[in-house]
Amino acid sequence: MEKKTVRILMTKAEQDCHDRGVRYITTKLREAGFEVIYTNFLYPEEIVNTAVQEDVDVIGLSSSTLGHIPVLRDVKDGLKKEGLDDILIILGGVVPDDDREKLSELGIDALFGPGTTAGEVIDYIKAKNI
Amino acid sequence: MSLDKMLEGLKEGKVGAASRLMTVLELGNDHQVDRIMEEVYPKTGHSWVVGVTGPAGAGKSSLLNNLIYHVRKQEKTVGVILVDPTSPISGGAVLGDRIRMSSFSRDEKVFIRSMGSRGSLGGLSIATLGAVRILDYLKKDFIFVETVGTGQVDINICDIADTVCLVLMPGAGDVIQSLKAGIREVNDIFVVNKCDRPGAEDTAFNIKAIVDIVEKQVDRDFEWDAPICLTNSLTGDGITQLLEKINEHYQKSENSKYRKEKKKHQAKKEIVEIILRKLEKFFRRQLEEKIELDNIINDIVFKFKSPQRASEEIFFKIAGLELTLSQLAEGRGEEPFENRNA
Amino acid sequence: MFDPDTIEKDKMLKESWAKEFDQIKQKFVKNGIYIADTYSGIPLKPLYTPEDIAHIPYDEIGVPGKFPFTRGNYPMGYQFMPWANQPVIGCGTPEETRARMDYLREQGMTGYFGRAFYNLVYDLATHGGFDPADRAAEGRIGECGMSVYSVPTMEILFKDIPLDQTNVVHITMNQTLPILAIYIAYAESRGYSTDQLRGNSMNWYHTYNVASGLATFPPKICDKLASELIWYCTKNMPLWNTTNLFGYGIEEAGANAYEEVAVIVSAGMSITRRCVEMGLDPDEFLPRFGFQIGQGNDFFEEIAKIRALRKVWAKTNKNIFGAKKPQSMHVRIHTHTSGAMLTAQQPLVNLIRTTIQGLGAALSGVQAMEIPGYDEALAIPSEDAARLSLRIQQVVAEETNITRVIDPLGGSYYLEWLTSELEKKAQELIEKIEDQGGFIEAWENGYIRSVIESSARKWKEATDSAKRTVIGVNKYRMEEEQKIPIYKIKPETADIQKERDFYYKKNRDKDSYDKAMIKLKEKLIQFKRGENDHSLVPAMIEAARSDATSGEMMTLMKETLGWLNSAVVAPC
Repeated sequence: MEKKTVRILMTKAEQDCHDRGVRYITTKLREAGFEVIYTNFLYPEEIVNTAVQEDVDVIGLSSSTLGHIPVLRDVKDGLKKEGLDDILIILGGVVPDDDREKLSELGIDALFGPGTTAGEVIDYIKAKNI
Repeated sequence: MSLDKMLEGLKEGKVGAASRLMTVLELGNDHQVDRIMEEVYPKTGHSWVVGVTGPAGAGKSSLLNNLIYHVRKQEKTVGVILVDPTSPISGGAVLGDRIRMSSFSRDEKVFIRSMGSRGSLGGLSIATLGAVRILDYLKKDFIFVETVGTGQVDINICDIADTVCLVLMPGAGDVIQSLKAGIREVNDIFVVNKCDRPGAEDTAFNIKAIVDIVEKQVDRDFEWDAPICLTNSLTGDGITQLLEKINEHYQKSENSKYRKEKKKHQAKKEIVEIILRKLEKFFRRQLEEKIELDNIINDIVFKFKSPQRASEEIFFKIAGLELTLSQLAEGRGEEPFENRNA
Repeated sequence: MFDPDTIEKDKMLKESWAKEFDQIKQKFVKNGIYIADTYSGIPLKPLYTPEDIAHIPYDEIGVPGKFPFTRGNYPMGYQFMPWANQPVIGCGTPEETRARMDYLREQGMTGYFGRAFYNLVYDLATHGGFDPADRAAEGRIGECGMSVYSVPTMEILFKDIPLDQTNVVHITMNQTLPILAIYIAYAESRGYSTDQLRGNSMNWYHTYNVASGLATFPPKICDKLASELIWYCTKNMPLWNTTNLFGYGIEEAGANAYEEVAVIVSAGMSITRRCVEMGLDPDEFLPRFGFQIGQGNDFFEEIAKIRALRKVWAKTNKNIFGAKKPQSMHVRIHTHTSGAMLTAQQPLVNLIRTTIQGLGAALSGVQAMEIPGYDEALAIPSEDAARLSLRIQQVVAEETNITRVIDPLGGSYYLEWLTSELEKKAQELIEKIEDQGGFIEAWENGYIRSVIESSARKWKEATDSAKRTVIGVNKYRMEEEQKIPIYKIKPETADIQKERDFYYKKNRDKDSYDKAMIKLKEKLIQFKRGENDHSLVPAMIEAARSDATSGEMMTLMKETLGWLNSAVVAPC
C-alpha cells in the first residue's frame, strides 16, 4: 500500500500583503514531499470548508498583521463541529509574545515566528508522524 | 475513521466523508478502492462532467472561477477537481489553483478538491476518476475537472469528461501544432482565453482550419460545429457564451449514440486497465515473494539462459496453470516461442 | 575619464599592491579562494582604482542638477534644507493617530520649508475596502493603520490643521481613489479648493500588487484606475503628487537592488504610456511622480542603486518619452529603510541597523525618509520607538556634518563603478520585461513574480544556512531575549469605530446618498466598458460629499470592475 502523502493547507488573509515567508515555506514543503494547498481567505469559515474538502492533515496560517486570534478561534470551533479536532494547526508570521498564552489555550500546536527556517517547520511536521 | 463510517457518511451526503474517501482512493489500495466503487458507481449519472485542459498559463483556473460564478447564478451545484503536477523528485506538490476561485470556499454548494498528479500521465488517474464519481454520487449538477497543463493535448481527459474544453492563449503556435495529434479526441469546445491580447483572432482562425479538417473524420450522430469561444477570464467577457455552448453540447450529446458508444469504449478501457493493473500487482508480488530471482538473474547475466526462456519458466511457476507464455502467444495467433528462431 | 599616464601609474601601483595583498591573503584563506559579492550577486574586487571607471564618460557622472542626475536632482543638496521627515503614522482611532501626529511634530518632525508633513497609513480594514461595520473588517479595525474611511472621520483627524500649508500623504492600497475623493470632499467642506491641496496619493495599483498576495482589481483595471487618477490630478491638483512608484514593496518581497530598479521603472513606463494614450503630455504629469525606495543593508550597493535609478529614469523619460523638463526626469525619493532586514530577536540592534541605513539614504541624496521603529518586526511603533527613529534622522542631518557637501561620495572609484554596473543590469532586466510586452504583461504572466521570488528564495537559503549573517538570528544569538514594550492600540478601538460607522450611516441624508451612489455605479460601468469621459472621479467626490464611505465605494467598484482574490498566482 502506498504511504499516505501528508496534505497541508497554507493560507493567509487576503488583506494581508506579507506573503514572502509563506510562499517560501510552501515551496520547501513541496521539496520535502508534502502536498500543499496554497490559498487565501476572507472569512474564517473558508479555512474550515477548505480543510474539510481537501482532507488536510495540517493547517498553516500565516499572519503578519494581527487578527489571527479571532480567526483561529472560529476555525477551531468550525473544525470541532466537523469532528476534525485532530488537524494540526500551526501559526507563522509576526505574533506578539502576549498572544502565546491565548494560542496555547486555543490549542494551537506551534508558532513559527520571524527567523524560522524551513527546516524547522518540516522537521516539526515530520516528527508528528501523520 | 473506518471505511465503513466514511461510506455511511457519504450516504448522508457529508462533505467530510466524501473528502476522506477521495484520500483513500489516492492511496490506491485495491480492496478499499473496490469497496468504495461498489457503493458509489451504481449511483452515479447525475452530473455533467466538463474537462478543462490546455497548456499552463492559458488561464484555466481564472476561467473556471468565472464559469463557476455563472453556473451558480443559474442555481446549479458544482464540483471541481483541480490537478497540479507532482514533483517527480520529491513526490510533493504545490496545489495552487484553488486560490483563483477561493471566494467559492464560502459557498456550500461548491465542492473543490485539489489533487497532485502523483505520477499519472496527464495527471488523470483512478483517484481523479474516483473523485469525479464521488462528486457525481453527491449529485452535483456540474463537475469541472482541470488537468495539468502539460503543453500537450491531454487525451486522457476524454475518458472522464462529457464535454472537453481546450483552453489556449493567443499566439500559442506550438500548441496548435500539437493539437493535430490529439484533436480526434479533444474536439468539443475550443477556448481562446486572454482574448484581449494580440493574435486572438488569428489563433481562433488557425484552430478553425484544423478543426474543419478533423470534423470530417469524427462520427457524431448529432449536429455539432465545434465552437471557438473567445474569452477574457479577468474581465468576464465571453464567459456566458462559453457556458451557453457547454449547455448546448450537453443538450445535444446527452442522449446521443455517440456518447453511448463513448461510454462503452470507456468501460472496456477501464476494465482492461483494472485487470492489467491488478495482474501487474499480482505478478510483481509473486516475483518478489515466491521466486528465487537471484539465481535466474545470474543465469541471464552469464548468458546461460536468454531472458525470454527465463521468463517462460518464471511465468509457468507463478501462473501455476498448464499455460506458458508461448501458449498465450498461440492464443494471440502468434508463433510459439520455441518455433521463433527457426 | 583619466589620461593614459594616470592609467599607467595606476596599473603599476595596483600590481605592487596586488602582490602584497596576495601574500597576506594566503595567511587567511587556505584554499586560495576568496569570494565577495554584493547582496545582489555582483562580484566584488578588494580594491577599486581609476582603471575601473576609466571607461565611464565623465558626463555620465557630471554635476548635481544636470542630466542624467547621477549626483542628485538639484544643484543644491541639503545645504539649505535637509530631507523631509516622513515617518509613517497610523494607529487605531483618528484621535489616537492625531495624538501621535502632534507628538512627533513636537519632537521636531519637519517637512520642507518647516511645513508639517504627515505620512498617514490606513488600517487593514480600509485597505481591503471594508468599513468597521462590515464582517470582513473583524479583527482588522485600526490595525496597522488608522481607521479613517469617511469625511466625518477625516474631520476628527485633521481638525484645525491648515490643509494648504500641510503635506498629507495618504498611504492606501486599492482604495486610493475613494480616499482621495473623500479627502477632496472634506477639504472642500473646510473651504479649500483642489488646487490648494498638497500631498501624495500612493496610486499603488501596479507596484504594490505585483509583489504581494493581496486581493486586488484585475491588472488592466489597475492600470486604468491609476492613470485616471493621474489625469484628474494633473488637470485639477497642481500641487498633488499623483503616483508613488513602490520600489520598497518590491524590495521587501525579496527583489535585489537592480531588480527593484528594473521593476519600478517598467511600472513607471507602463503608467506613462497609458497617460500618453489618454492625451496627456509627459511633461505634464511626470514631475508629479515619486518613488519609494528601500534602503537595505549592503551599504554601498544601496547608495549605488539610487544613483543608478536616477540615471535609468532620466534616460528613459528623455529618450523614450521625449520629456523635456528636468523635473520630468527627476527621481524624487521617499526612502523607507528596509523592514525585512530588521529582526524580532534582540530588537534594540535594529536601532543600529536603521541608523546605518538612514545614513546611507542621506548619502544617496533622497528627498524624504521614513525609518521604522526598532520594534518593526513585532508591532507598529510605540511612541518611544517612533521618537528614536526621528532622532536617527535628526542626528544624521544635524550632527554628522554630511549635509555640508553635495553627493560627498561622488567620484569614489568603487561607488561609480558599482553605479554603472547596477545601471547595466537594471537596463537588461527592463529590456526583458519590455520584450514580454511590458509591465502589465509580465505581471499577468507571472514573470515579475518569478524574478522576485527567486531572489527571495536565494536570500532565505543564504540566511537559513548562515551564509549570510543576521545577528541575533543565525549568529550571536541570546538565550534570554530582551523584552521590549509592544505598542497596542486601545482595546475599545473596534467598538468605537463600529459605533461611529453605524451612527454616521444612519444619520446621513439617505436621498442624496442613494442618488450619488446610483450615479457612481453608472460611471463605473461606463469606465469598465472603456468609455472614459473622465467623470468617474467627480462622481466619487459627489458620493463622498453625501457621506459615502470608502468601503461602500470599494464594494461598488469590486462588483462592477471585477476583483481578484490574489494579485499573484501560487508559488511554483
